[in-house]
Amino acid sequence: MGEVAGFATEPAAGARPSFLRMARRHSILLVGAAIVGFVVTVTILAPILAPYDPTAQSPGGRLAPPSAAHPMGTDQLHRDVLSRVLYGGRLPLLVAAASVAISFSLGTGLGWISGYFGGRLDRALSVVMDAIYSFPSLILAIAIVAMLGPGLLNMIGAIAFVYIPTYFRVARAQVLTLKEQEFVEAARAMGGTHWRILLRHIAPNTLPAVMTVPSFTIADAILTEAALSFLGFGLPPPTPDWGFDIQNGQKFLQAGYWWLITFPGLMIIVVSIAFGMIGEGVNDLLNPRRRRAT
Amino acid sequence: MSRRRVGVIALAILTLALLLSPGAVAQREKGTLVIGTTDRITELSPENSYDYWTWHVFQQTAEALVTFKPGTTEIGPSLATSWTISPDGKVYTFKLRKGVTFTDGTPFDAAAVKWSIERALRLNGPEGGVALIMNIGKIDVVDDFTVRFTLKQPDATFLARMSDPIAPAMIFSPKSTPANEFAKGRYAGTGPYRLVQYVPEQRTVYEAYKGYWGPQPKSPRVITVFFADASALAAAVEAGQVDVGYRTFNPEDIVRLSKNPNLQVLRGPSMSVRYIVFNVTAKPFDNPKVRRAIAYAVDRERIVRDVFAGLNSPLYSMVPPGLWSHVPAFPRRNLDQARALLREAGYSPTKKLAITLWYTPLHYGTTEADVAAVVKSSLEQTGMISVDVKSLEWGAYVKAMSKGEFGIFFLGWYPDFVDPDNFLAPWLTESPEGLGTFLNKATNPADKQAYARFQKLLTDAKLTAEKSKRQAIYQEAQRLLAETAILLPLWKNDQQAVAIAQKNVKGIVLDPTMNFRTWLIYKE
Amino acid sequence: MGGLGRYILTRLVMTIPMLLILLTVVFLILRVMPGDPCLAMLGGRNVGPEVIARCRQELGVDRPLVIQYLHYLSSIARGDFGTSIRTGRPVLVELFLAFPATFELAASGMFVAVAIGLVTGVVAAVRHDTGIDHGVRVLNIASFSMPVFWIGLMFLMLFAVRLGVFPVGGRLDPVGAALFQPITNFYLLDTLLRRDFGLFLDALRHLFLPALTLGLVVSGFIGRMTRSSMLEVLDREYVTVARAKGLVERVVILRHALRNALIPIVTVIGLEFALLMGGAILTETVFSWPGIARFLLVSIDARDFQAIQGTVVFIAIFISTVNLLVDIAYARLDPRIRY
Repeated sequence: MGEVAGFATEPAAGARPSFLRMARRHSILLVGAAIVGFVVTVTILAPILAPYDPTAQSPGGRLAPPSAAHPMGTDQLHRDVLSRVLYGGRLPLLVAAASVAISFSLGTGLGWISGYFGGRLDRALSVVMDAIYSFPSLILAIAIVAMLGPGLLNMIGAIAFVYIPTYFRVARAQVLTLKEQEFVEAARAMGGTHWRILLRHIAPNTLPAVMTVPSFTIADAILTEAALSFLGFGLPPPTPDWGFDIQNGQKFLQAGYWWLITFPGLMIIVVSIAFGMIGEGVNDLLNPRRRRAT
Repeated sequence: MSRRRVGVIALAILTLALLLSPGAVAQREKGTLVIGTTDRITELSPENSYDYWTWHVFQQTAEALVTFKPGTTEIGPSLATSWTISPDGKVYTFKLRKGVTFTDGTPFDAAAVKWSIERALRLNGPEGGVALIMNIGKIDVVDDFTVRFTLKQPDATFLARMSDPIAPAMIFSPKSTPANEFAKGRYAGTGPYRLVQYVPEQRTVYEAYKGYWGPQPKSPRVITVFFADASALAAAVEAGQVDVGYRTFNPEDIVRLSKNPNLQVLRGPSMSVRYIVFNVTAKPFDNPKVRRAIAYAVDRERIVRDVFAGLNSPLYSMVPPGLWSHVPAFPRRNLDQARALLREAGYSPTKKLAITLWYTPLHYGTTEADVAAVVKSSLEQTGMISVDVKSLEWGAYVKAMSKGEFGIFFLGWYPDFVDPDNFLAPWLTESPEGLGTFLNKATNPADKQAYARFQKLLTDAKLTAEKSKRQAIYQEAQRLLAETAILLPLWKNDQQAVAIAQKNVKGIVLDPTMNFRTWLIYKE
Repeated sequence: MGGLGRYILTRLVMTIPMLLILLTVVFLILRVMPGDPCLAMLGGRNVGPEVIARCRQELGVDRPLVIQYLHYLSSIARGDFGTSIRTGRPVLVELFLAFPATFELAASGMFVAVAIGLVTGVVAAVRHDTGIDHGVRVLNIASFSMPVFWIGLMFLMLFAVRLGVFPVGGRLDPVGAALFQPITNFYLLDTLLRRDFGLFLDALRHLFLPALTLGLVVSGFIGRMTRSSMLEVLDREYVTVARAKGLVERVVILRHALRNALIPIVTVIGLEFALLMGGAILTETVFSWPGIARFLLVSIDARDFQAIQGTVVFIAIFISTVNLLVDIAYARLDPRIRY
């Protein structure tokens, strides 16, 4: 995701809004959060909720269409699709969360340091980050996984690597702006060390802008993980995974067995949109735009 | 403004109409036959290839001394018109056909036969099947149209080995084929087609050779399209983009397309088998107990039922049922026996046997990944094996297997000629390295003994022409194979011998030789 | 030389270190990170130490890193991308054969993305805060939340299989392709050059679904950017001035607002090309499109190290070139940037 979020402006002045009005104004955020919460809960509770073992044969038929016993049908190895869909979110969500956590920490940290201290370090880091940022993320991730081999840590590392520049740029841009502001001058006048100023004063103020990014990168990371699994670079079977199941279901599409790819695909879309909505909502929350008079 | 809008809308409709109109393409004449396949060519070198489609291409564009009559397992004349065999069974004299030319214009004669076959014997590539004709001792040109072969040993199967599509036995032009390098596509045969275009991964194009000695092929031009996967192939057949699809459809697509009234689904008697190969020089497969344990642990029923929707049948011997001398020598599944053997070999639930199982993702159809998954879970059910599944693209797979880089891997087989010898000798005595068993380099004394025994058995069987004697020998060989478990037959590949074609396509013959003779196919 | 010319030169000079960094990153990923690329390629196989030794010698991995790096850079500069162990031909030849397919796909996808994105963005901005605006915002989010490969499969299922109006894959009808002799391998161009209008339409038909798939997914960003950019601009003074002058609303929007809104959009388009390349891998897989992305995947399947390295390097160079061109276009559009 290549978005640099809008800059913070002064919060709109006005009377304290009622709860309902707040809910309506931030409906996108709430709906998104609700969906994500639901999916995460369901995924965590998969061992309880799933009617069958997702990796083993179930008593249902082979490639059976959705029915009462198997609401999402079965696949060609007699596995229940609903169970696979419930379990199948674990890997994408885990990988996305872990990799975004890593890129957030590393990227933001490096962005702060680079933006604040400037000079040669900043120039060097910026060029490196720009270079990585300009490269197609999926191809980079594929190259890393292809060379390191399949595995959970490799996937997390590959995807984390790809998003570091995103956080770097946002954090750095924020630091550059804040560096010149008055409160920084004041802090320096009061005799604060560089690190103190950076960590105590500047860094926290970058957060409104930086915090708008994670939801979008999580959404993107989920899609990247799904793409990697779809192309065969994910974990080896029979681990349930939405992306992998879509690739598996591909060969049965023409024969009319549509449920194999439809349900995993819908899950990916729903979760991804939900995170996107959270992102939009957070953006609105932290960086409200002036309302137009049209 | 509204006039412009009308204009824009009209343009949009026109573009859409043009886009959606079918047949906006060069008119396809009846004479161009389009074949679709998921198979691939490895290397167009008759002396360095041993896989189905590469030899198929040679078969359309070149010929051998004899051939199998379509629809039968009978041998008939091809580039040779008649032959005599000496009483001791070692000397074969062939009278050659006159008036034949190669597609590059060179006349065909006994000198060309000698040159071509000696070349194959000399170059003998590591990935080739030249071992099939290694029994040839001497080739003499008696006169321009008579050639004499003297064998090292009498061999009841020799004539079958001199037939197409056995590439090393086919005759190529001395003018266009490099004498001392692998051909890699540079060759000229006697027809009935010429190879005019080969784009790797995409297509081949054959055109009828006007100077062919026999009847002109029914379709003057044949285009073969290589598909990236079986669903794309099925879709193309359904959409009419491809006239005939062959090798290898998804089982689901076969079932579905059988119900399509616009298509015909042809099934041939299949002599094609699928199996696992062990490299007996690679640890831990140098231990016969490990191999036998795996033989007890595989679940053929599950493979056939789950992956192939019942379209194939479990196989308990390399010699398939339907071929004389078949005996189901391999044991049925028995997890306890498997565990017992593993324990004897020193493994336990805490000290598992760790193996890397290799498969190739496209060549045998897109079901291969599922097969590997089922085998993995069947073996792991013992609780004492842990399986790491890996895959490699077909060309690299063949190279790696011939270099002994795999310990345990999947392979397939269709007969070069229909005889029990061709279901045993290739891995055990003729091409153990080219086919990945490396039995000739076995380290374990039991395996070395087995190798010697196989050599004796299979040679004896070729020395006699009496069928009942040969049958007994081949049965013993099958039992020995089951005991030593150097190969592990899994299923008989009925599903691969399926061709799906448009209703107007005629002339497709699917016989036990698995030869796909495009020169007989035409459209009405 | 003029301001623009000097700007171009400056950008060119600045592109080289960027490209160098990119190539270094690729080097680190392919050669340094896995420890021993030979082990990565030969992993799981029963190979003796001589085989690994020979592999290392061939790939140059047995030499010190610095030497490897210099050799790597110099061979790229010479255009020597190595030989594919799978096809036996030079990697650069394979890439030049496959690249036009990917470029046609990416360019068409970009065209679709810009068309959809601009239109929805402008409409949403003009109808700001109405139902249409919200709807477009949701559509934008949806478009980049959808897995490209899933959308492609859905389109395939609906239009190619069920309705049969579009082909299921490939660039041309197989018969047409066999009889056709490409010149540049850009089929849209070649078919016109050979005056084969029927084949041109056929190529277009094959291009339609993959381009639509790719473009749809990227259109969201462009739509979003267009919308916010237009909103900024519509508020500006010169728009108020134009309105005050009494110009028709449509003219105001298209001529004045959009022109200025385009500036940031152009940069986004440059960034989106990188996204397109990523999406191209998935689209090429779903639609059996013989481009460089597919070549990369087959090479990975065959553990063909030189081909893998060559393809990634090639993509890096391509992206850098695109970024350079976008920067120049940006300069041309924005009169404020002149050195």
